[in-house]
Order: sequence, then structure tokens, then C-alpha cells
Amino acid sequence: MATQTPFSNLQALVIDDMSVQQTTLRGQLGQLGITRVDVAANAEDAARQIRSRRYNLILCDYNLNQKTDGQQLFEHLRDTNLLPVDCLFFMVTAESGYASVAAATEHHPDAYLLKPITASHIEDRLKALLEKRDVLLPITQKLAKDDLLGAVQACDQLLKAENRWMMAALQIKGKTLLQLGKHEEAKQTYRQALDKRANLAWAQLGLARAHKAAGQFDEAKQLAQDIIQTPEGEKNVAAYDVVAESMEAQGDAQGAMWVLRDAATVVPSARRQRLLGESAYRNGDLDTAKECMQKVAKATKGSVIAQPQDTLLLAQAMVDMGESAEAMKVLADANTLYRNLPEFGSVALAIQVQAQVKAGTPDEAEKTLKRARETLRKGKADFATIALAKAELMAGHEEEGLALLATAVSSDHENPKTKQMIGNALRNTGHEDKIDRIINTASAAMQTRVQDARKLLRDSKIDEAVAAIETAVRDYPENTGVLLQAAQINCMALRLKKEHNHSMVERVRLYLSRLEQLLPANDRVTMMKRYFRETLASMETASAPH
Amino acid sequence: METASFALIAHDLKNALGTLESELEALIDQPDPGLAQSAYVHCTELRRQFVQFLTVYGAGDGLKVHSEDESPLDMLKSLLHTAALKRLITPGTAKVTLKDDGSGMPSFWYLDRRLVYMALEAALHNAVRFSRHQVVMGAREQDGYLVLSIDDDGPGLGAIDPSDQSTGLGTALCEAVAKAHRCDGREGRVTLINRPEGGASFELWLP
Repeated sequence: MATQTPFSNLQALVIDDMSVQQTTLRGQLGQLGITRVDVAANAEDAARQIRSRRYNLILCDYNLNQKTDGQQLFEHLRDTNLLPVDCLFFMVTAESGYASVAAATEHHPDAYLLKPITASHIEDRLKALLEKRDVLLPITQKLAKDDLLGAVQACDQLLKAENRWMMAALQIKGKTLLQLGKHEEAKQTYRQALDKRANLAWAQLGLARAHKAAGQFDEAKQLAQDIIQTPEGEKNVAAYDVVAESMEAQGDAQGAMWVLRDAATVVPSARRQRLLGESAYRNGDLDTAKECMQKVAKATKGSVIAQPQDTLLLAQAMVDMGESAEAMKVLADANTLYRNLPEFGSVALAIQVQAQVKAGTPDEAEKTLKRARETLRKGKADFATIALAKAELMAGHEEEGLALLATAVSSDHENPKTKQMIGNALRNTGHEDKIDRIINTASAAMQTRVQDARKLLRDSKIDEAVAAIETAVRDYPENTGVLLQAAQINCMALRLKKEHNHSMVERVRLYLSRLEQLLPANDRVTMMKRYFRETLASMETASAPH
Repeated sequence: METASFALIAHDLKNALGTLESELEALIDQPDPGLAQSAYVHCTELRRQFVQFLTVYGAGDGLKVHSEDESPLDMLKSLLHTAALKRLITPGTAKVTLKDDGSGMPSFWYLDRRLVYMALEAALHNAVRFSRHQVVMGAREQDGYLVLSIDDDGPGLGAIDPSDQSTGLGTALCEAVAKAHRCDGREGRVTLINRPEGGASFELWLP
């Protein structure tokens, strides 16, 4: 019979390609009383098992001798929300590689275990981390319920004790304040951490992010640059991202691309190459885009972290460069893999049309175009719509192509990245003279609709204002500019009418959650969420009995 | 590093391996749990020395530190636990205790737990060898540094090693670990002094 220990109820997963190591780790967990242990030999198996069973502890070897390494698997699990919040993830690494692995990662696992591992190593880390988890439970429970204010209060409660967990509490508090849109308080929190420990990387990064959120882009850039210039920070890709995002916000897309290029040089992961490739493509640097996406395709071939969009972008860049035959080959290769994915098929067809036109086979192009049209539902502000528009324009259907691009602009008229790509599409298809007309006319029309709604509100025609913006949302349900305005106008209507209108509140909630999906971790969305919370709070005060 | 020191270390590692070899040889003829246990301890010890060696000399571009907020008390308690287990196997060696029962320590400090633990383990190993009855470990905050201390009641510095197994590897490791810890322009250091009341005092200062 197994001995009962504090760890006996843990369900564990060991991920290692070597069966000897699997057995050793399983035995060591057994010594700690952990008997429910599953084993996976590669990342694909592991991902499947994690989807079907809830694990409390995962021990993963960094070097899986497979298409996917331990760190990539960990990031994939995090990005796809497959890891439960209370699951501990331990990365097993070799002595020599550990420092470089730890320095170059955007997200750290709960612990690194260095080979050779003993049961007492695991026990040590497990004990400390379970204690930490228990201490932080009041905070994480609030966070799990999306009660951000409650989480900040719980952090303050813990900070009062001035104990071992002070820095952990400060770190969560700063992050939560940023999510709440309270960047000034976030700055204070991060400065408090820096007073305790100078040059603390997460606090410096948080401070930079708080400045970016406050619209102080120059300061944000400077603070992030300071991190990058330290020996420990030269591989801090999150700091590069703050610089790039600040430049993008200041309208310097080209500069942002150069920063992403630096980041991809210091950490040449598939994820960084992908970010650089996308930015390079938008900026018209086709050589870089192609090179990056080829690297991504090679690095992720047959792995769980491969994405259909990588192949599409590679093929599109090749067509743009006049390499039709190569593009067709890339698409044909990927077709066996992604055949059943709707997000792949229709775009692949649109790119194929372009390749066929360039290859001088207009009849085939026309046939493919018919199929591509059938699969595209409604024009959006996305890569797929722009690819089809290009196909139409190149096949000589000017009216259809321009109409699609206009729809793409209207679908998200404030999105600078889409506009950049639409501009390129027009330029590359010989319609440079229409860039101004298509982009500006369509976005001005949307601008007018939004302004009309705001004017109605100013004229105290509250119901009419709400109706006007709601129509705009119905027409373009994924237009982030319209969604932000709709959230704001509905909030203002709630405040002006001073009554709790349930359906209006639910509508704002819906818009905000849609915005969250469309613009993750966006500063404007964060501020709108804050405004909504304050609106709800003001109505509660107003309706309280006097 | 001097060739002479490498030769010295290799020599000691070879001797330790020789001891292990003869223990294993004896086990072939006569399986005995006590002897197996002793061989196991020697094997662990030998591996520890190899890890130390690789830590100090294996990293081409110097020791890389990955600091997190750690509890000095937890770290010392864990060392204490390991020392108590070792003492079960080798009775008669000095007892290791915590100064003031662990009170008065800073609740957390930024340090690379793995490296600092390894350095303290080496220093403790050394102190236990020289000590008569008792070794005391402590941690305090002084002048903006975390000071981890190991005091023994042995003959003091410069004494001849009673077990004749000192290679200087432990000291080199402690110095490398101390130096690798930097913060805000300051760097860690190691001090070794004779205590007025007798015995030696080892201190690891971390910024």
C-alpha cells in the first residue's frame, strides 16, 4: 500500500522521450507518495492527455528529441488555455542549457529542475510551490472569478503581512492594476517592487507597460530599452515587444519591424519569426517575410504548434514575389494537412487564383476564383478577404475586388494593420491611384456613422443615439472602433437615464468580451472596461436608498 | 585555473573513485546493506563534487545566475534536513543547528537557489569535517546584503584537514557563486575568519 503524504492526491504527468528517464521520474514521484502518474513520450501525446485529464503536476523534459521542445510545448499549452491555473509545470533541463533556456523564454514554468534530479529536489520545489499556491489562493480565486478589484484587495491584505510572499503579491497586484486600466497605481506598485530590489526585470517591464498604457510611448520605449541593454535583459523579448508596440502606436510601423527583427535575432524561435514575418509582410519587405515564414514552416512541420496561417502567409509572399510555382507547391503540401479547415481552404484558393494569373493561365484562374468566391461568407478586415480581393483584381474583376477591399476597411476602419495591407494590395495590383479613395472614403463613412450617433447623444436624443450605434454594430459586428463607441454610448446612456437597463448592460458586456477576443491586452479596451465598471458602480450608488 | 590545481582535483576524484571501487568489489563477495549504504553515500558525494567542478569550470562564459525571491529560512532548513540524514549514516560527526532557531532572518532575498544551495552544501561539508561538536548556520541582513553564515567549533583556519580530502574546489565554488550574484553595481563575496571564541566562520555575502 502506498504511503499517504501531502502529495498523495496529486495527479501527475511525466513527459519524456527516454523510457529510462520516464521510469526514474515515475519512481521518484512514487517515493513522494505520488502514485497516479501518466507518461507521454512526445509533445503531441502530452497535449492529447492534458486535454482529456486534469493534472496537478507536469514534469516535462526540455529536450524531447522531437519536432517540439519542452518550452514550445509549455507555451503552446498556455496560449491555448490547456493548462489549468493550479497545475504546476516543472521543466527538466540539462545543467549546461538551463541558463540560456531560462533567459530566452517569455513565459517561465513554475520551476526548472536540473539534471541529475533526485526525489528530494522535486519534494523541495513542490513543497515551496504548494505553500505559495495556498498563500495566493485568496487572490487567484478572485482572479478566476474575474473580480479584479477583489484581487487587488486580496493582494493588499497579503502585503500587510510583509512576509516571504511580498514580491509575488506585488507582481500580481501590478498586473491586475494594468488590467483594470489603473496605470498610475500600477506604476506605484512596480516602483515599490523596484525599491525593494533594484533592476528587477518584471517590475521594470511592468513599469514600461504602465507608461505605454498611459500613452507615454517615449517613456515606455526608454524603460524597455533600459532592460534590453542590461546583460540579463538582452534576451527579454517582452521588452522588445513593448518597444515595438509603442512605435506602432506612434505610427512607426517600419521602426517596429526593425525591433521585432532584433528580437527574432536574439531569440530565433518560431513564435518570434512568425511575428517578424507578419510585420515584414505588412511593411512590404517580402524577402524577410518569405525567409521568416520558411523558417517557421520548417521549425513547426508536423508539430502541434504549426498554424495554417503560416503556410498561407508564406504562399502569399511567394506569389507577390512572382514565385507562382513555389507557392502552388507550398499550398499543395499543406493541403493534405489542413484540407478540412475552412480557414485554410478558401484562402488557399484565393492565393491559388493569384498564382494562376501570374503563371499565365487565366482560364484556370477563373475556375478557381468561382470556387474561392463560394467559400467566402462575408467580407471582413482580415487576410482572407484581402487575398480574395487581390485575386479578383488580378483576374480583372476590378469592381468586385475594390468592393471587397472597401468592405474590409469598413469592417474595422480604425485598424492600421489592415489598412497597411489593403494599401499594399492596391499598389501591387496596379491600383495605387485608388488607395486614397478606397481607404479614406470607407473609413470616413464609418467615422460619420459613429459621429452621428455621438451627436444624437449630445443633443440628448439618447434612444436614437443608441439605435444608431447598434445598427452600425449589426452591420460590422467585428469593427473594433464601432464596438468601443457602442460600449461607450451605451454606458453614457445608462448614466444619463440613471436606471439599470438589464439588456443594455448585457450588450456592453457582450461588446467588451468580443473586443477582448479581437484586441487581446489592448490598452483602449482595458480603459473601456474600466469605464463600464465605474458606470455600474455609479448606478449602484444612485439606486441605493437615501 | 592552474594546471596544478586541476591535477590536484583529478587526483582527489580518482582516490574517491578508488574507495567506491573497493566497496563495490567487497559487495560482490558479500552483499551487505550497510556497506551498500556506505558505497551509495560515497557515490553521491563523488557526483556532488563533479557537479561542483562542472559548475565552476564547465561554463565557458562564466556562471549565469537566475535569481528569484527565495526564503533563506526554507533553504537553511532544507540543508539542515540533509545534514541530519547524513549524520544518521556517519554517526559521531558534528551536529548542525540553526542560529536563534531561525529567527531574525529576512523573509525573502533574490538569489539563485540552486547555486547558493550548492555553495552552502560545500561550505557545510567543510565545516562538519573540521568541527568538534557543533556547526551553526544562520542568515541575517547587513548593509544591504544577505549574509549566510556557517560557524564551526574546530581548530580554526590553517589547520590540517583531518580527513585529508580538501581540494579547494568547495572554496572556488563559493567564490564563483558569490561573484556571479550582482545587484545595482554591487557583487557578492565570501569571507573566512577565525572566531574569537574558537573555530572558523564562513560567510557568503549576497547583494
